[in-house]
Amino acid sequence: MQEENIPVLPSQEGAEAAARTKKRAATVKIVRLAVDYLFLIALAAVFLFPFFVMICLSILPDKDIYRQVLFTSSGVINFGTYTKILSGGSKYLSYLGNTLIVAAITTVGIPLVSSLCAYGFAKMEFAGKEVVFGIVLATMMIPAVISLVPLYTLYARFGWLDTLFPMWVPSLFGGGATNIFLMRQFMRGIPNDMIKAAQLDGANSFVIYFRLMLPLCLPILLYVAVQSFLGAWNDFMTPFTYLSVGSKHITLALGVYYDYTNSSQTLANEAMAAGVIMTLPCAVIFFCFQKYLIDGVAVTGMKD
Amino acid sequence: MTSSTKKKLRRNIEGYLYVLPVILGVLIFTAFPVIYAFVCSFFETPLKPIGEGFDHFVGLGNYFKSFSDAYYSRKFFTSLGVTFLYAATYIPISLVLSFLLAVFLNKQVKGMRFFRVLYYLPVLLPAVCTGMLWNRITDPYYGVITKALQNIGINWSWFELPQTSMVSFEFISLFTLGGNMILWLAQLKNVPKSLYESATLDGAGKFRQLVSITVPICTPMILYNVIMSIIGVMQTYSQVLTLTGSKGSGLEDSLLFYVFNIYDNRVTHFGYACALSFILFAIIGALTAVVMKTSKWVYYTEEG
Amino acid sequence: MKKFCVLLMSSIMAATLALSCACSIDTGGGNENNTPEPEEPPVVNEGAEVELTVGTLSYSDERTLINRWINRFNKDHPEVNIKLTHQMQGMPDTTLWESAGNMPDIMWTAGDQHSPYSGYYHYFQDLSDEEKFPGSAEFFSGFYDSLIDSTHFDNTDKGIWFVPRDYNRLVIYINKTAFAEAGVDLPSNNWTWTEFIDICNRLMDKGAKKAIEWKQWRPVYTTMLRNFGGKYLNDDGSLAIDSEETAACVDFYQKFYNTTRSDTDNVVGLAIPGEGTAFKAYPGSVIGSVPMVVDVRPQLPAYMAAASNGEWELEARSFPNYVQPDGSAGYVGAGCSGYGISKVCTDEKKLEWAWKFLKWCMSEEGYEVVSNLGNIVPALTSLRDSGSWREYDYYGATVDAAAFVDLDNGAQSIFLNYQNSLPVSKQDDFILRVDDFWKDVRTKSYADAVETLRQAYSALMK
Repeated sequence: MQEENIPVLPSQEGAEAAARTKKRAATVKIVRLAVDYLFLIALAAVFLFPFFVMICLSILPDKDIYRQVLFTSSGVINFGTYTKILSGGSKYLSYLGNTLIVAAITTVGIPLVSSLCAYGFAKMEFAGKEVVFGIVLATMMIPAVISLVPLYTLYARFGWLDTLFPMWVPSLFGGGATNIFLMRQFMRGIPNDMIKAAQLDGANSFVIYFRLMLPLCLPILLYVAVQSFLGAWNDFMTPFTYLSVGSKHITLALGVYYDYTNSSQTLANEAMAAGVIMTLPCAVIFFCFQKYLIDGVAVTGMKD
Repeated sequence: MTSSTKKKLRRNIEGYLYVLPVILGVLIFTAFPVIYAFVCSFFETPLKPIGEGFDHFVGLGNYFKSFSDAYYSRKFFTSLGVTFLYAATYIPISLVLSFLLAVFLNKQVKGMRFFRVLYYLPVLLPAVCTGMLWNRITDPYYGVITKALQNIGINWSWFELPQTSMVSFEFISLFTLGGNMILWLAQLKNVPKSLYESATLDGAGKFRQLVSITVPICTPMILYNVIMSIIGVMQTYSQVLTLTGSKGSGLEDSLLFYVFNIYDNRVTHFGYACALSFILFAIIGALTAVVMKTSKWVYYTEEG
Repeated sequence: MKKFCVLLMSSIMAATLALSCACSIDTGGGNENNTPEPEEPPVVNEGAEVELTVGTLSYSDERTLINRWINRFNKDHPEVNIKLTHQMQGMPDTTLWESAGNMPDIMWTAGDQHSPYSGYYHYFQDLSDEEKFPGSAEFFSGFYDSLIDSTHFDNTDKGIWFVPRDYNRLVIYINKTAFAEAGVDLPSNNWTWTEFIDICNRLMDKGAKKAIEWKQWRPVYTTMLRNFGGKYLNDDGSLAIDSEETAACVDFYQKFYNTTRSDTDNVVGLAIPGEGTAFKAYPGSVIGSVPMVVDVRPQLPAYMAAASNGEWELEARSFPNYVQPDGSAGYVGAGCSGYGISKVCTDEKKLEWAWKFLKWCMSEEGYEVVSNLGNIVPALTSLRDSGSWREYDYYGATVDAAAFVDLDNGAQSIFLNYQNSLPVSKQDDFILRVDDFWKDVRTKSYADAVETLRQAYSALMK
């Protein structure tokens, strides 16, 4: 509003006015920046609030749990919750072990398998390619619950119930339509000339895939790997459906649900500590790979 | 056999070898269970091992049951109502809010990238942890948040009243706005700068630019987001389960999402659960088709 | 840019630390009273000639209980190795085990939900078969009649499909501290319904939020329906819900739960629906508290713990006697859980040991082993007035054991399997529809609720 007044200022005071305007503009800029930052920080506080509460509650002494406070008045920090959870032989460690097995297999396996399939769809020529790819894409539209329930009987036949197999074997069969789609998009961006050159050098298709494509696809491979890790880490429905309560193979997500959600047996601070420990690897991985993740998401949404 | 057909055959075999994992995966882990479920949906049967046959054939009875049997139809329509209410409110709200957030974060301010990371962080919080955390802190007697709100004069009942349950659930879900925000940000980067420059020359204000340049260019993303959200939201289950714990589908079924119905019936009335999942499939398909049919508002740039 | 990020990050971290870091560090566990009893390590008999598997409910109380029995039995019988291998969240999980071809030899069952599993799916073996299970008639004669009634799967069935484990009558848990503050005398175990309502009203006058937390639970509903003289089904399986008696009971419920309280009717607005959380969260004064709750024995340790944490005293009383119009005693629902022998246990040796094990668990000796857990009232009539279960204490606090068993001049126990006049395949589904009926009466009119149930019933029986 005030800026609009500037042109009507008398001309003889021009130089002085210009300086004043400049100064004012600078002030306005600073104020605006400050407001922006204030808003940003306030929003960050809102978004980080759940983490904050979780951490605060996890170190609360037992007797303060029912007092509806975030901070203890006694000045005592209780790390006993963490030591209890992580002490040898605790159930949590076995959950962690199972989850790590599944996460390790899928984090390595899914990028490899899906890149293999994507290579077939992106760079190979064979009859019916488009149809097959169309069918693979169409499976994305099928709600997961439809197959989740009948697969139970199939896994029962395989003897897979109460084992870790349902959590990782299916994902090694192609690695999921979304991942194949992403990889294929990425590979199509790699010029065919390079492949032709390699072919002239006598390289077969697998060598081209392994030596040429994989290194070039590194960003998207990393993206898929991180997503697979997070997926395996957080997956709830698969273990919930195929593992029975008290099974040896319960993973973190399910274990935390059974042991800590709404259970009067455990105190809130212990539950929160379990949550913090479960969240930590996700946060660390995210901070390390955030560039690939955020840029990778950009690829996901765009060209369909 | 001529050498060219031989070569062709070889090429086909090679191509199919690459995509073999995904073909097998689709056949075993998608096609089989879907067909099996489809067959089962015509039988009245509890969950049985494969090959043991079913109790008795009821034709389309399982499909009609949702409409004709008072007990099932009540559950069916309540769950549809809850799911649609959630979809109809949460999808637009989260789209708009995440868009505004992205527009705000698209400013060239120092440290913006860091804030983006912070805002994205809650998306990484495992669903089980989110559920467990909010379950505890919204407890009517021991919850920290309940108390904090009471202290500032707000008496919010969270999940203790049917009327407030849905709003509370949506509020908690909004913490994952960061996921959509990242998608928007990627899209916003794609808007050619020249468009804004010429608009500024034409005297269009910031708001005007937002409405007539940014939004139209983002429409493909809106379409993609809406469709993916519909598919996701219609399958809401684990988020609610981990949040409400022993209350399951909420007081007075205020959070009885559709998938609860499927899961509750999957053991004792397996055939009916299968029919329910195909009804869900049909609903998702229909909604997607409607969105696609009415997508004239989507503006595709030349390369799209 | 990088510098800036580091600065921001560290400032946020510093803020978090400053907020939460007060001073010293404590790795101790805090209040000792809170820690639940640790589960015993399992006793394993390596190389035993007979291996038996057991499935039970997944709750830690249930696991602790069966583990006590298993450990002791394994210790005394090295030739057999019993293992807790299966855990369930409810009876339908047994169908999951069945379809996975992986059923345990001994399975937990809820007394009021076993019918389809014993009478329709045939998962359980009939324990009344003297040839297979020697001494069965004599063994089962020691149990409460109402519990034996619940082991049959329908009205004509004579089989006994599981061994009842505990005797769970509805009881009223009382916050003694709140009563004392309100100046309300503790009732006797023989109190009548009129006295109960009177006490409720007096508590309300003293500022209680609600007088009692009233569970939304089948046994509670059914008990009240029975007391009012109503029933769900006739003996031929036809629906009997639409009657004056049921209408009166529903009317009572609607007033009882009503949020506004009026002085014109003395039952209006006395109760709050809930699962015991309001009762446990005693605010330290009768004002705003809920000083009573209706529940069963297995919850006692949890209430004891809540009382100990909140520094108030707990007491238990029998369910009030709703004296019938003819002057006879009112009714109170009694039920049980139990363990059955599953169909996969066919090997002669296994059968013999499974039967021996169950007979031992539910014997005077077996009940002694678990008495200090506090959540079991023995199912044997011989232990009604004796046995160490009556001396259970929680860090010195005790409640009146007489509240949990039949009294000569109190409410009489009834068997709650109201659905047993239906064919077994329909029973479970009918229970769910009745649950819906009770949900309905809180929001709809009586006529509408009855009509909905009638429609659901006829669709079910088609």
